[in-house]
Amino acid sequence: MLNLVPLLLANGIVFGAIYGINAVGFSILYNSTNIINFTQGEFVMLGGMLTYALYEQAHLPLWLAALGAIAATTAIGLLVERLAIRPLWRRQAKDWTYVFMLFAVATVLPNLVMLLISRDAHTLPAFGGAATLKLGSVTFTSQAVWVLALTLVIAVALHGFYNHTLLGKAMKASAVNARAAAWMGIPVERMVALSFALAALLGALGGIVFTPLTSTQFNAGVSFTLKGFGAAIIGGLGNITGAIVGGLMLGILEALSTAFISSLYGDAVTYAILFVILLVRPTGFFRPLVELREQEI
Amino acid sequence: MSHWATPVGLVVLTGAVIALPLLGSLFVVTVMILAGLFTIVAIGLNLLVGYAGKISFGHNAFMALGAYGTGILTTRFEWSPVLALVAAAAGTGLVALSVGAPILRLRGHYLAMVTLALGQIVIIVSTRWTEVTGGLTGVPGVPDFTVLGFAFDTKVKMYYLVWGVTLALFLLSFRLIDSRFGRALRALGAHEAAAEALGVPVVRCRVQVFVLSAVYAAIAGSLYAHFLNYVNGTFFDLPVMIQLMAMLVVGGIGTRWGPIVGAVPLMWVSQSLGRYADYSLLIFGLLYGGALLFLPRGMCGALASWVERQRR
Repeated sequence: MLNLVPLLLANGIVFGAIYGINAVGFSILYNSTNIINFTQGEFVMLGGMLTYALYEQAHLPLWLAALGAIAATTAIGLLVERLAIRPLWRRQAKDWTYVFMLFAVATVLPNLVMLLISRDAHTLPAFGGAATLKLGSVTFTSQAVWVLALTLVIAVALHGFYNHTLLGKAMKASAVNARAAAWMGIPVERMVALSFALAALLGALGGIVFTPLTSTQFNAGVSFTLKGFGAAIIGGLGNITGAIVGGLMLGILEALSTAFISSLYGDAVTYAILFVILLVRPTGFFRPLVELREQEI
Repeated sequence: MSHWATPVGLVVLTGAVIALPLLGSLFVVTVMILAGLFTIVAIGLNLLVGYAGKISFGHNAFMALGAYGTGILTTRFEWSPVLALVAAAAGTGLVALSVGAPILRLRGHYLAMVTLALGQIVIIVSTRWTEVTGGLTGVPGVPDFTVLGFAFDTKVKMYYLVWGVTLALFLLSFRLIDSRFGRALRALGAHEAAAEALGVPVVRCRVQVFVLSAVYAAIAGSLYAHFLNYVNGTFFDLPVMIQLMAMLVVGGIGTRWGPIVGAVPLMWVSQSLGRYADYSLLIFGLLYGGALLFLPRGMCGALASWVERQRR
């Protein structure tokens, strides 16, 4: 059993990278709005299912289908902000209203996919084009290399974006204090819209590179939401590097626990890990980008 | 609203509940049984979410625990239904207590996510732990509910049982809302720090209301098991939680009558779709989101403010 460990670690890292990308989506939105996005996992599902629809049902080439799905999911992210979130924002609704609203959106989106695209699980062909990577006894498939490379690119790009561009700093500022940011001339609403678009885009990207590894289905979103959230919490909500590391940690824990504890209960084990982490360390293991006060948790 | 509104409303409601099976068909009775069961859970959730301001996306799990408790105790151990119901409700309450005490320190979004995870854990485990729950086969052969030899063995009798319990728990919620505990809950929901400063035992109150709402859900789950004579964890998966939330929001979250005003019509919607049953969750999601946008305090809140305006 122990000689399986390198393989399990490798698998955990690849799946964890997806959770990490997703956790980054959580963090981006949290950073500019303090909202925890219950629809994040639905964006992942949309990425996979829309690519499937464009590739298998509309017979586009895979790369075009993927681009189309990314564009469509981003547009859906913008629509969600415009139709569901902005009215609440303008009304200065209570905190729980956002949670409820996003839960409603997370109900509508998968059911639309089920009715309009397909109710079955689907996979996509591997992208190809990337070399396989051999590390000791473990071989990463070319799809796994895609996943890891994408994660790295996203981490570096966002790090630069938040720390070295005016737009990134403006988004950060509107999370720290929306009113003060507005006084400084930052168009807070546009920042919120932008973060929804960015979170949706990342979700879709994650879903597209992930789907060839296993499969996706209209109801896969909840699991991605919970795992992405778990990763974001481990990484200190809002911390981009932390989110990726949190994702990797969660992926590895998941791979090891399914191998050594039980594979019967599947996701339940991962959720239990999330549960324990929230009880023990609700502030995570990394410094959040925006410091939380104890009572805000 | 005037102080007559509540007693008059309760009398009218009780009359309607008693009269309905005399007028309606078997289909009507069946739908209303389901509506009653969901109303019970919604009443508890309303106390938790609407009054104490704590969000749970995991009460479907408490329903499942109640149902499995009753199912397993009555079939495998041949307990009497009443005893099984009490044990299932108490056991679920204990689970809620041991889970609630630590997680209720967390606020808003975190609590929502934790309870969502908890609900998923319970549903996954219940459908896969074959030795105890029967796995996907579930627990068949749950007997009809009996009290002191009287069996609720027809749909109509079951209807009266469910609605008797619903009305009792509804009245209890009214008493609670008007009690010292209810005021404490409202204070908690409005401003936690202020409530604490005024001497409300914040931690104890929110654990109490969490446990109470879990027990409400367990009772409904227990009766559900007797109604179907069968338990299966998939009946309590996420769609149930979505329906509950939609009922709560459409009826009016944080209003007394909200749970019943939301649950009954929405149950009718979901049971009347026939061959469009696939659209059920989409409709629920849209109603629920739409209500948040256009009727922030639900139908009850809208009615209350309309009455206010008429009076002025």
